[in-house]
Amino acid sequence: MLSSRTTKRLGAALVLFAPILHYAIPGASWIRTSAAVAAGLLMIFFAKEAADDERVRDLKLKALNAAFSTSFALTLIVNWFLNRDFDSTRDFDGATGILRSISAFDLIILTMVAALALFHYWRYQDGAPDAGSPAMPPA
Amino acid sequence: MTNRLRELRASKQWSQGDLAQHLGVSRQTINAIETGKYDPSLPLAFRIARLFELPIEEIFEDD
Repeated sequence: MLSSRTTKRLGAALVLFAPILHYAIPGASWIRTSAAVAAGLLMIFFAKEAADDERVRDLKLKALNAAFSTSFALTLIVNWFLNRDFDSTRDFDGATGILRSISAFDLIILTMVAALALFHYWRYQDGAPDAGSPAMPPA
Repeated sequence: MTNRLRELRASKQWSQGDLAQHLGVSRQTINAIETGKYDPSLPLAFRIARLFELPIEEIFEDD
């Protein structure tokens, strides 16, 4: 079993190198690249934190909840733009019409990016002292 | 829920990091509890109560 640090590093390597390889290899498929990026982001998000306590798990769940709702709504908006010229009477008639959509991997990438951003922002806020609080005793 | 964690910690001259170490959680988690951003689970609340040798209801109060 990989340690959490190794899992995160492996995830970061996938996120970093998959897009570089995508542009380096002519004709590379975005589906494969996005699958690798999505896998990398999942590894980073779900790997244990250095201090993995109940608050971390609570924040990760909240971040995932908010990120999924947001990215799903965003997917619907993007798909609406992709299909704004779609005419069901015209396009389904000749078997040429296919409703376009971003892929499931793209949805995972959107969700994981938003979840990671929210988690780290909330974690940063947790560490920030309250404005009205008295001074901390010395360490 | 309000709590007296900051006051109790100050009475022992502990930093947030010291208290976090005693409870086996991170400093950020202690800060989140003290500032009222997070209500701890029952097991963590019991650990806090045991550490300060006080009943839970003397540390945490329902609004």
